[in-house]
Amino acid sequence: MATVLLLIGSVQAQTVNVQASVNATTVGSDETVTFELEVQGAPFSDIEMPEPPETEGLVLQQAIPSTQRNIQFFNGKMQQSIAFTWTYRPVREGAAQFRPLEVTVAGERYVTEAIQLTIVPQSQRPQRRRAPFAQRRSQTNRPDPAGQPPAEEAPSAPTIDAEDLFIQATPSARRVYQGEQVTIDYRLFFREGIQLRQSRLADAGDADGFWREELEVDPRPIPQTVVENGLRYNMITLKRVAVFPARSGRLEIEPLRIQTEAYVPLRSSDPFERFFSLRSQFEPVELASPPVVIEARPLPTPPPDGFVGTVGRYQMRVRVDATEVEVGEPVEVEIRLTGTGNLATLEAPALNLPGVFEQYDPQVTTTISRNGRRVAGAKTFAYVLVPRSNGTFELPSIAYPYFDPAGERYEQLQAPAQQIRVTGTASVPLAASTTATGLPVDDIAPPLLAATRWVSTGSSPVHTRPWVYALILLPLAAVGGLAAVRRRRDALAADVAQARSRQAHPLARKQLKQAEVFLQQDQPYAFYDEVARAVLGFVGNRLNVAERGLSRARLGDALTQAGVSADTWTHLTTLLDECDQARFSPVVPNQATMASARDRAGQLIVAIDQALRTPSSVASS
Amino acid sequence: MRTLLLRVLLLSLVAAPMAWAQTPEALAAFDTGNARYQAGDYQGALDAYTEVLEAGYGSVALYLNTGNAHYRLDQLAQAIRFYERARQLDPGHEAVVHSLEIAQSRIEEPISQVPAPFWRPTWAALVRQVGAIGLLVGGLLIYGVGLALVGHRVWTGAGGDWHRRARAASLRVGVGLLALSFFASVDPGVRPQAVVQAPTSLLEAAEPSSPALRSVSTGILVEVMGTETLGTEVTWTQVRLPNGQVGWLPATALIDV
Repeated sequence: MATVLLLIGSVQAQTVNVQASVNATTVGSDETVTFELEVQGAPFSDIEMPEPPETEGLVLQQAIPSTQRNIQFFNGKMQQSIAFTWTYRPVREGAAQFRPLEVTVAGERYVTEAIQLTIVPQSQRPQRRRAPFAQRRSQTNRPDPAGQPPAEEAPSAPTIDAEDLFIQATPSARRVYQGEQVTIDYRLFFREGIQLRQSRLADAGDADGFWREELEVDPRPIPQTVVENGLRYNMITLKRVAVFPARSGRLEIEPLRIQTEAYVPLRSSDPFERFFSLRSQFEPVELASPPVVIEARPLPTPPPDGFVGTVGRYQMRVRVDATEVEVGEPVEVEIRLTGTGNLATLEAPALNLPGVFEQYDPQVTTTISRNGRRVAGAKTFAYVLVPRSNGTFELPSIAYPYFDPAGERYEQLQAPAQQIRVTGTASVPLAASTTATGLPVDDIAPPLLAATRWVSTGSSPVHTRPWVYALILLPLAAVGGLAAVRRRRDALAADVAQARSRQAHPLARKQLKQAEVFLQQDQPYAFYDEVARAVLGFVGNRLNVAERGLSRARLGDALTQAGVSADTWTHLTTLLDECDQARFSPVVPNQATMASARDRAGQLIVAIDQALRTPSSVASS
Repeated sequence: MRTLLLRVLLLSLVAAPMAWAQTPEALAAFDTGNARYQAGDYQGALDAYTEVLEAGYGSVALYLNTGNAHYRLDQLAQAIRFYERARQLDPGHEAVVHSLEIAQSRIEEPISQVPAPFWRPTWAALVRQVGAIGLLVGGLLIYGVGLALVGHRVWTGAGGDWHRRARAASLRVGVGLLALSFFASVDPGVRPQAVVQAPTSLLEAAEPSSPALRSVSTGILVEVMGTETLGTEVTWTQVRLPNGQVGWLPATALIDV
């Protein structure tokens, strides 16, 4: 702002406004420039006559200012203003300025800011001084306050000066976070005397990469007098939009364009020319605002769990309409988010309900207030839950994180968990619809009331059970044993001596056992016969000789050759003789004698067997 | 020795009727569970079903109903665990597949399933239909016939071309079936599986400070590949996610299927 008022002193009840302006900031070397000091909100009597402002590169044409008093009625109130005007002429080409001017109003001192001018050669100036606002069809672009270049240059046809009529686009911020609101004011500035009619919006200005919300402005605005860059303008706000960058990066909002017809009065000292001039007509004009570039920063990482991209500042309220219901009776859970931000794209918080609740899509209600400079309002998510069974269930706590661009940090809204007690039982299936196979579309299958096949779950795997290995190996071992037995039998059949030797012991044992039976039965003849058969049979089998008809001499030779000691042989012959005597003697031997014979027979068998097993006996045999 | 054998025989004779007596009682608990379920008493139904499970019984109906009770009690991981058990018994059962899909639709962050090798479903179907025990019994019978023929040949010396062929065929088929039985016992067609029972992160190694590969939601079915133990306690489990990604999860975050 080239010109603002500075108030030094106490603030009065009545608002006093002091503004300084010039009729042009670029002036030809042969032209004059007027400096106007306007005091609003104070009667003329309260104003001390101001001195003309000090200048650089300018010379005052007249020391006494021309004075103009205006009275306006605005919103039912009278407003008066007094304007003091001085005329200056440039001294040289180049930079010039009006220095700050002090004025005292009702005892208070006000100071204006300096106004910078550029004095250019007269040849560079158009013929506008004769008709300063004369123009034909034109396009006008003002430089973007941030230094953006004009979108389009004016055509070669006579143009209206860019300072006389333009649209200014003013964003509330140029560097914001992704999702953060930027408010853009589109304001139309036009110099005094210019009238506009049949204005229409030609292009609202595409905002690719933004979510856009229109904010309300006065549909029938009253022009406000403002000083912009030292020049006095009438200004109206055409449009106000809120944009939310949907992604990070450098994003551009295209110019807003309006088509209108402008009436420019002819400034001429000749009243006749002013009255009859054909130039003072409405001419079609297209105006465009400069494009607006917004630098959208990405949100800080990492985002908190559950973050769904919400940016702004919010409060959350969760309401459950009933905490005790019956099975099948609906429960409404209302989650209401209020605050400032992009409410239209606000996503519902995650609601992790127990599976016992049948859940329907929420009813979403959005209320947005657009009459301020920020988009504010409320969004309500109303869930209807239908419990399918009884019990006490907990609606888990609801967490809703969002990013607060003002604080530049993530915040978390939290609603506590709530319990719902469900009573009663469901008598009928609650599924609203079923599949072709009769299963509920949005629920699990009903229970199966009969099991057709039971399996054992406690059994260990086959490969860990020992009996399995036994069942595999035992038949194999049996076949192996069978083969061994067969082979043994074949071998025995081929070797009679070996076979008899193997049979010697069992037969002798069997015969001695039978002798014992005879002893018990007191049958001495049979007893001694059996003892003699056992001993002779054993010797015959072990030596592979036929015991029948075996004489004592042959028996003695055979035993001697087999390595049986003479002592053993003596005992053997004694026993055999005792047996023969007993079998043929008329005297019956007593039990003790028979038992002794039995014992000696056993001892002899052992002794002969040991003698036959010794290596010497084997070698000799 | 003789006394010990007598005691074992006596114990077997007493225990067998007791075991048979438990069967109707355990199965009656299944009906009790169904009645409680239909009355909306899901916790009571679950208690009854658990009684049947602890008695060593299983069936598609029992697993499905147990999964349903867990689902109604908002125990998603347990529900998926039992639905998966039922599916392993009967993969084509409509109610089981439907309920499993409904439960899996509640998984916050589902993971895509990589298709299994073509032979695995076939092998799993064979094992499911015949079973390792069936293969073992069949194998033992044919194997026994083969050995009997060998024994006959050894003992009597009888033979001939048909005898030789019968011996060779029965022994080969019998041994082959026994080998299949053992293979089915070791690898029943379904790898050991577990369900994630609490949200967690898949880690690169079995250490809490290891880099996280991704998050894993409750209800995700994973394949168990190995374990890391501290003493006798399993602390970490190496798993393969449905999309084939391999990593480690805390053992406490898993329940075996």
